[in-house]
Amino acid sequence: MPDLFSGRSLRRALPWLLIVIAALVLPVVLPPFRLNLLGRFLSLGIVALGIDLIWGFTGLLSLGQGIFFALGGYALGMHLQLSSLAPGELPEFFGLYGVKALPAFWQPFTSPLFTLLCIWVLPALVAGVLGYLVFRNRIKGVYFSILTQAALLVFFNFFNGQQKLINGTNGLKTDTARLLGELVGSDAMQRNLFWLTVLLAVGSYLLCRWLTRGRFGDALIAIRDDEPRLRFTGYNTTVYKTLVFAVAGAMAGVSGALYTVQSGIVSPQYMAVPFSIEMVIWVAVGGRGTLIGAVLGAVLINYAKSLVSEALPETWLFIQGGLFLLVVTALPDGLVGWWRSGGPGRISAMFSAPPAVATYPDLELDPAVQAERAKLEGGAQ
Amino acid sequence: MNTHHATTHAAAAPLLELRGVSVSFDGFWALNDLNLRLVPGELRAVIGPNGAGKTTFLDVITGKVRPTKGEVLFRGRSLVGIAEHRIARLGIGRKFQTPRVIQNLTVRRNLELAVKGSHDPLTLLFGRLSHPQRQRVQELLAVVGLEAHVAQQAGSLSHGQKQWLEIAMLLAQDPELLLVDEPVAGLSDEETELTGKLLRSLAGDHTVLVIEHDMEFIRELHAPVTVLHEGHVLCEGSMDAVQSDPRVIEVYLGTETEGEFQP
Amino acid sequence: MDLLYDTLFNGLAIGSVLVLAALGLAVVFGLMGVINMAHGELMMLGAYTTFVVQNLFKDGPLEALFPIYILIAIPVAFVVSGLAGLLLEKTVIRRLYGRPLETLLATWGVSLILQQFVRSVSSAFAIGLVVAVALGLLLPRFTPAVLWQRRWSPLLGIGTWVGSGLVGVALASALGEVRALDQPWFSARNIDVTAPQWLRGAVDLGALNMPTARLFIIALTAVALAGVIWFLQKSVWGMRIRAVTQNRSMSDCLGIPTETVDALTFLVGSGLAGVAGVAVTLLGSVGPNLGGNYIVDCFMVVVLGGVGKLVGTVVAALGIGVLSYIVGSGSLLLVWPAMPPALNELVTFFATTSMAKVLVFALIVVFLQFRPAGLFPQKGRLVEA
Repeated sequence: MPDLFSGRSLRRALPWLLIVIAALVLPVVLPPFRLNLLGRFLSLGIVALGIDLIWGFTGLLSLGQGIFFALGGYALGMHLQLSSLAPGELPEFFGLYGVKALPAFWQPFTSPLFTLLCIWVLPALVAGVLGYLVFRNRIKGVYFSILTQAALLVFFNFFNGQQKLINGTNGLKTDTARLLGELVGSDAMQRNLFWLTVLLAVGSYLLCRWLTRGRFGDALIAIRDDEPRLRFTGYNTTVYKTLVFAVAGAMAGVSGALYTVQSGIVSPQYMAVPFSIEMVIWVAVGGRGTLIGAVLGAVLINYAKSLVSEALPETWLFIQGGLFLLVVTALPDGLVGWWRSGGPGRISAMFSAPPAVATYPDLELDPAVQAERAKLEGGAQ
Repeated sequence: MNTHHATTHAAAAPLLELRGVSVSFDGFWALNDLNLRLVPGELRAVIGPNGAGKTTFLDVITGKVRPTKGEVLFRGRSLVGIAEHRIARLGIGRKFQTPRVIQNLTVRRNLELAVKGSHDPLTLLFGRLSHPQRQRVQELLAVVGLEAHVAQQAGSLSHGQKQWLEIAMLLAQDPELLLVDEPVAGLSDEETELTGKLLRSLAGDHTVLVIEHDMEFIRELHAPVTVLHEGHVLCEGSMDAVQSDPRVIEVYLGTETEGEFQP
Repeated sequence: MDLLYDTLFNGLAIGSVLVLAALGLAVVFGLMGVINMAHGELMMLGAYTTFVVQNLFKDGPLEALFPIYILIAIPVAFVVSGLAGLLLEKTVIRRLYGRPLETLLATWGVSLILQQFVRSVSSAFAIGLVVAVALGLLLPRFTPAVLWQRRWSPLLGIGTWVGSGLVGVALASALGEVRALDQPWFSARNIDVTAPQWLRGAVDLGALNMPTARLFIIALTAVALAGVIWFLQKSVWGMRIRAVTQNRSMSDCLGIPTETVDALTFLVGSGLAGVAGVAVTLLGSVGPNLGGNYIVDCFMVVVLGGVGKLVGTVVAALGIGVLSYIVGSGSLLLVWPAMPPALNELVTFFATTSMAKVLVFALIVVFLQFRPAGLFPQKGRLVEA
């Protein structure tokens, strides 16, 4: 039996071990406020995973993930508005606008099962339809980005302006609602929600990994690198793009729902234009096309944001703007990409003697030479 | 053109037929009443000066450009208005002018994407490559001599290797009709010769149409040649016949066409 | 009939602001293919420049010229925004040509920095910034050359900038102790530009009441548009810009300084944003978030009109303006008071400015289904290349 606790297998198991330990230990150790923050940021990691899937792997830079994020949040928010009402009662805000009867589209949200489905199916459907319309016309690159941003603005204006339907700009509060008999805002409930977030984040990560590992993932990369080539090979790339955009939409919905119950409110601000671009930068800083980098980036940047905003609120936009510039010009593969490509080694190499080289440096770097050498060595054995 | 070819041409139903195809880009006629027939198993070379419409001609067949006028028939079925991927699935494969391989995938994964079989997402997600498919990939790696590079990123291959990888991807699709755009551009003499051999060996089982600038290479193909000029078939015949045709000499050497440069 | 004129005039007024705002973007995006998300912030700089110019003329020796300060503000705003754009091109965008998505993100970062800049800038802040930049540029010149040939020299470069930045921050916060230097120039609050008397009135044509500010904006748009068209079609540099757009390498071979052309194009586009900023100050108070209100609309105008076509930009902007006004004002109800209740409800539903935007944008997305390349598509094979 190979040694289980050394080398590769340990290195592979270590992150998971750390996650399990963190998930078990942190809820006990951290004060409720900090734990709640971590849970919120981890749920943002899920929408970031979706963005990595569509941008990092498939090359589609969506600036409108806030739509699906907020839709998931609203689905759960509406259910929580209704769940603790006595029969015949209406959510409070309706009274302010003189609405007497529950609008029809609210009715199904009394059902927890429908809501659970709606949280991810509805965003996936909207993403699917929107994606299909755009991809069918071969709109791609920056045009896709601009259109998703315009769609975001449409949704934002709609939700912002409709007081009588969904309380407009005030959004829906969830803290005082009851879920399974427990107050959503209570510490015990929040701890459970933290565990749920960990579970769903890990699940989403595994889903993305499964999607990107095999030939399906190869096809996504091929779409990113050279879509016409793939089309002439017989692939209906529109279907692939629509599918993967819908999956990312579903993940954004789940993420939005988790974020909503942990921050106590869902409002049109979740569809604000800057927030959706922020999501992209989490992925860019963490490292696109790395999956784990997306989660890491979301958690790290949001933690940094909350720390900086507590201490020096004025500087946060400077730092964030600087991050955009830094990641584009100096760190295109993000932190994880930099780490994996031997970034720390390059830094330390700057302070050590130049490495010994067997032949000309150029040859050392040539993959063909390396392959040939490997072949020769393989033959000799 | 030898007599054997001539008789088969007349007898067999054409695999591909272009009837009076014209393509207008905003008043500029890239193709102008183009007529062409390919019979199954044929190897055909297409030459023509810059701007003769060679690439547009492939674009029309593969569905990238919709003809303004005329018909494109593949096994008697019209291809006009059919999406690129469907045309590819019907059995028309295309190799691009500049080698187009998926840079960030390994050589093996490039081929595994291209290999014949279902290309729908669910198959790719849940299905695995069948034994014959994997065997085919291995075979093709041997054919193009890239076995040593299977695990290498395609982007790090040399230009010639990329050309060959793309040809291998084309073969992996197992198309009935192969459209090959400038397969030997940038290849060494030795590689050029091998490519020529490969294309000749493919003809018979497949129908092959080669577009090339390299006249020596075309000569070595021993195939009938079609000369395109201003989007129109100027003449057809053996390489020798074509080369001595005064009209061909005029379009290649004459001063008239120099203004015909196209960006 | 009055209603028709009223609709046309108001739609034209809304549309002409859009034309002006999108014009610079159309130049930069259409000719260079650069996505500049900081375009709105360049407009904001123009608006703040107007504010500063206005303050200069408000009292003191220049008071007599107050009625025409706005005419002076226009070229000044053009220069300020143009130079800001030039700086942006030279430092950031230049490195990112051919990578539109990266440009998009980088310029968004710049837009955030500019927004916070106008909120935070005070004399202390400005001094700190200038000192930091000067140190960062000058320090390498005064460090021994040997230090720049080591393997760790790249880190030294980063270290120099980090160090200069810290010095700047320290200096700024030290100076911030002095009350007079700590006073923010603009602060995060919105600013109000007082228009000169003649721009506050209205031209009364019987039923139609046309505010002069709106008329001024329409005229300004027409002049700016004519200027851009003249510049691109008739001037030598305009011809060079068009040449580079069509075939960069060939232009290079013909001796056209393509880098200068890029810089110039960007300068002109950014300067136009500044002019749009001047116009916006006439419509109400402006704040650091001004850019965000315009940027998406501008991109929609350019995409709808067809990238690379000025005529498309104009038609699209005016079309959006008129349509937005018709929908947003609910004037259909006035034309057709007896419409069926269901339709009436629908029209009322969309009869606010933000809901009008919902409908108009949705219509644009639908329209792009049928004409993906916009109203006036770029023609020929150029698109393919």
